[in-house]
Amino acid sequence: MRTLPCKMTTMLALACVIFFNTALAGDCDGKAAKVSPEQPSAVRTLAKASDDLAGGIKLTISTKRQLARERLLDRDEELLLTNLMLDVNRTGKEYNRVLTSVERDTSQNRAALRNALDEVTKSIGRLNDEGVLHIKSEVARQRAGLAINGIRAAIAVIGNTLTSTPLPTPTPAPGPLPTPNGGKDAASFRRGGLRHVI
Amino acid sequence: MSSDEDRFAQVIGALNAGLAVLPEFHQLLEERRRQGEMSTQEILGRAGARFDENQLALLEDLARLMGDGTTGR
Repeated sequence: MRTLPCKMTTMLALACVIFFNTALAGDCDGKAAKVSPEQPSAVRTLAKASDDLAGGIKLTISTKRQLARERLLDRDEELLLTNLMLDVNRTGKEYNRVLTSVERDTSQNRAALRNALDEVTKSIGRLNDEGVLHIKSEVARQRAGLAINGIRAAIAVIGNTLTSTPLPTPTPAPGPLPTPNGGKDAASFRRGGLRHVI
Repeated sequence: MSSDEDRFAQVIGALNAGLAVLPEFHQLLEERRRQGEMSTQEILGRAGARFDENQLALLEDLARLMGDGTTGR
C-alpha cells in the first residue's frame, strides 16, 4: 500500500510517454493512413512534424488561455508565457520556412534544418525554464508542462529524422543482368546490384 | 500530510491535469490523422497557416494583457 502511489506515478508517467510517442511520433496516421498520395520520405516526415509543432503550440496557447480564465495564472505570468510562446512560434515558423524551401534532401539542406531546429529547441527550453517552471500554481504548472510535451515530441521526431534517416541514394542506370557462369557481370551483381533490385 | 498522502495528492493532481487538456489533445490527433490524406506541400502549407494563426492569437493576447490587463479570454 505504501508503494502504490509511487507505482501509480510511474505508470502515469509511462502512459504519458507512450501516448505522446504513439500520437505524435513516426508515421502512424491511424485510420486515415489508408490513402497516402506520396511515398514516405524524410521530407514528408519532417513536414508532418512541422505541422505537429504548429499544432502543439496552438494547444499550448489554448491551455494558457484556459488557465488564465480559471485564475490559475496571474497577469504577469500570462504575459511572460505569451512572450516566450511568441518566440517559440517565431522559431517554429522559421523552421517551416526553411523546410518549405528545401527542394532536395541533401546534407547541406539538413544542416540548415538542424540550425533552425536548434533555435526551436532553445526557445522551448526558455519557455519551460523561464516560464512554466516559475508558475506559482502547481496545477497550472502541471497542465502547462503537459501541453509543451506535445511540442517536445514533435521536436524529437524532427531531430531523429534529421540524424537517423539515411539520405536517399541515387537510382543507378539499369545494367546488364548477371550471367549464370560468373565473370565480370556476376561480380558487379554481388557488389550491390541486388540492393537496387530490392 | 503523510508522505503517502502527499504522493496520492500528486497522482490525483497529475491525472486532473491530464484530463483537463484531453479535449485539446483529441483535436490535435484528429488534425494529425488528416495529414495522411494530404500531400507534403499541403502539409507544409497547413503548418505555415497554423504558425500564422498562432502568431495572431498570441499578439491578441499580448495586446489584451498590455491594454486592460484582463487575464483569460
